[in-house]
Amino acid sequence: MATVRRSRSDVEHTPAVTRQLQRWQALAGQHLAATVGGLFLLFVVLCSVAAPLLSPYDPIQIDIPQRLQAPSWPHLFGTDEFGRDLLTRVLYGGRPVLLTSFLSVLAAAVAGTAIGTLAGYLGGRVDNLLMRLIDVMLSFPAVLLAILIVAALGTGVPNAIIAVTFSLVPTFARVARALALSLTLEQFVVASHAIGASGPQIIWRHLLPNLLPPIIVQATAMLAIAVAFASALSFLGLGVEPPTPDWGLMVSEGQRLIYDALWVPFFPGLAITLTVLAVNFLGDGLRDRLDPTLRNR
Amino acid sequence: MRYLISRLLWLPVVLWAVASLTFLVLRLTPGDPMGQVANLIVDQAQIDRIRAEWGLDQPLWQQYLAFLGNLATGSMGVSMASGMPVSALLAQKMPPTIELALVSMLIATLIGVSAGVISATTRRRAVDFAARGLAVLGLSIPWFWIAIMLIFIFAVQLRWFPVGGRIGVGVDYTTITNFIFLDQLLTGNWAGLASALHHIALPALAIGLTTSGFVMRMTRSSMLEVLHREYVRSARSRGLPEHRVLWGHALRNAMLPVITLLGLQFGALLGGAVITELVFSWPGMGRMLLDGILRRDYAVVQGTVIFVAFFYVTANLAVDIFYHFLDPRLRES
Repeated sequence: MATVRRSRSDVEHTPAVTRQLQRWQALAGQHLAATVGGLFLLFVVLCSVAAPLLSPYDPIQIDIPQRLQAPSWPHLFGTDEFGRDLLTRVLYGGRPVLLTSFLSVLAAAVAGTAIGTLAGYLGGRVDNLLMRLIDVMLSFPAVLLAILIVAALGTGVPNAIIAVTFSLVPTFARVARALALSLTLEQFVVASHAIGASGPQIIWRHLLPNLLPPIIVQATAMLAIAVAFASALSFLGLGVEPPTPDWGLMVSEGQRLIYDALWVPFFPGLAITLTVLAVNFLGDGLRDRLDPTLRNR
Repeated sequence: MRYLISRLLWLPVVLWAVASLTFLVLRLTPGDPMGQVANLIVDQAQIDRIRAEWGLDQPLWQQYLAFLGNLATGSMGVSMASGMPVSALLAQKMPPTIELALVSMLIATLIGVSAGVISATTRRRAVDFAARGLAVLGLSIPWFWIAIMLIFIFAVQLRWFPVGGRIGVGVDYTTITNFIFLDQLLTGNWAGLASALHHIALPALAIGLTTSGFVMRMTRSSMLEVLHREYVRSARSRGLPEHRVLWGHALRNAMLPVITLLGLQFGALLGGAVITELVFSWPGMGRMLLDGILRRDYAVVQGTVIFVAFFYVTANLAVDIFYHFLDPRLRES
């Protein structure tokens, strides 16, 4: 249907060859964006893992004579107010953010899928109860829910992971429930019921494998949000403790230096932006591939 | 109609659940709410007396009942740090945050909707790609960072806007409701109004720019959906000028999903405002919430979170109702 609609409107001003060309360009564009996004994300992860190998400097050791040096060859990103090499700190600083966001998306995907699948498959009272609970969690603006949980548990990476996980679970549960609900009506599930397959068998063999691709796409989209939340928490001082390098914390510590050393808050923030951008490109690309109705947009 | 009534009846239940969840999360914690105060007081008897005063010596369920009872009468407890009632603190700190969120939403809507329409009508041309690229960039930039960068460019370098604060130092202004725009309008204080606008521009832009990315994407896809409908073609075939077809016929119909998104984004905006406020020393709920967390001032954290969640739930309900009035098909069913 989408094809018919599109060609009807495009016919007026574009010749067929150009149209075909445009279609290929768009397709290549999407794959390109997703590929570049994915590769860049991999690059960011590798950089933060291999930070000690990549940099000759120590991320924590104070070196006062070197303080607030502008970007130069020995210090590509300059130095901070304690004379520490900023590039080194940006390399190390991805660790808490990436750890928090990857683990919390993983945990939220597992928990949310479990809740959503159970609700969608069992239906009735269980469904009602679980979904009302999810509704209540969604009544908090997600950032606020994360802040509330950290407020209760205290600061630090493990608590930040719990906080971000909780704020992401409702979305996964909703998506998984909708998918599970539509799958239970599919013929192969109905047939499987008819030949006497048990509930767990159906969930394990039929529902979960079919849920997985859309959940992975959802997880990529949520990863962008998780990185944003994790860095917001550390910006607020609710993540790692100084002097541990961390992107959000570095922006927060550097913000009063904008008058004379803009590079201090600039580079860690740029790192967050580029990481989220890469995740968004990857997520958009994956979503377009999975959802054919969006492909021609 | 029945749907609306059920939504309205559901509202108090959600509010109760939100309040209870906030209470529980904050009480089930390992930390002692007395921790901060106990550092200042050495005498155990004194600590016990304060505990009793705040009801912390009672079993959890009694504390919960007292909390619900207080909440029902509009009392949110007393701040342990300042000794002021939380409701009074909120009345003072809530208007700046809501003002900021509303102006940000206005900016996000103006930029997002226009960019979305332009992008939909230039589909797959350079303008469209550029607009979509900017939208993804916008929604990828963290609030706090774009805020700092805007301060650097427009306040430090160009000196077009002030670095922070709500209104200029030395500008006369009156406080009635503490909604600064409303107050200046009521008193006819144009200089104060101008100064307030000047001060809100940068923080609102910081939040508005990032949010406009979401609005733009939703507007674009919704416009693309609508542009192929019969009524748009028939409007064109009747010879209406293209701009009227686009901004009148098409956009009006494309706005429904956009409005839903705006309602949902309002919560994110409030969250964003809480964070952006810190950068601009905006005297709103953000600073209060963060101080409350760091000092373990539970009444303040509890009150702020519950208030924002209440506001968010009510805003979503309002959007739902508005939606029903906009779409005649939903109104009749």
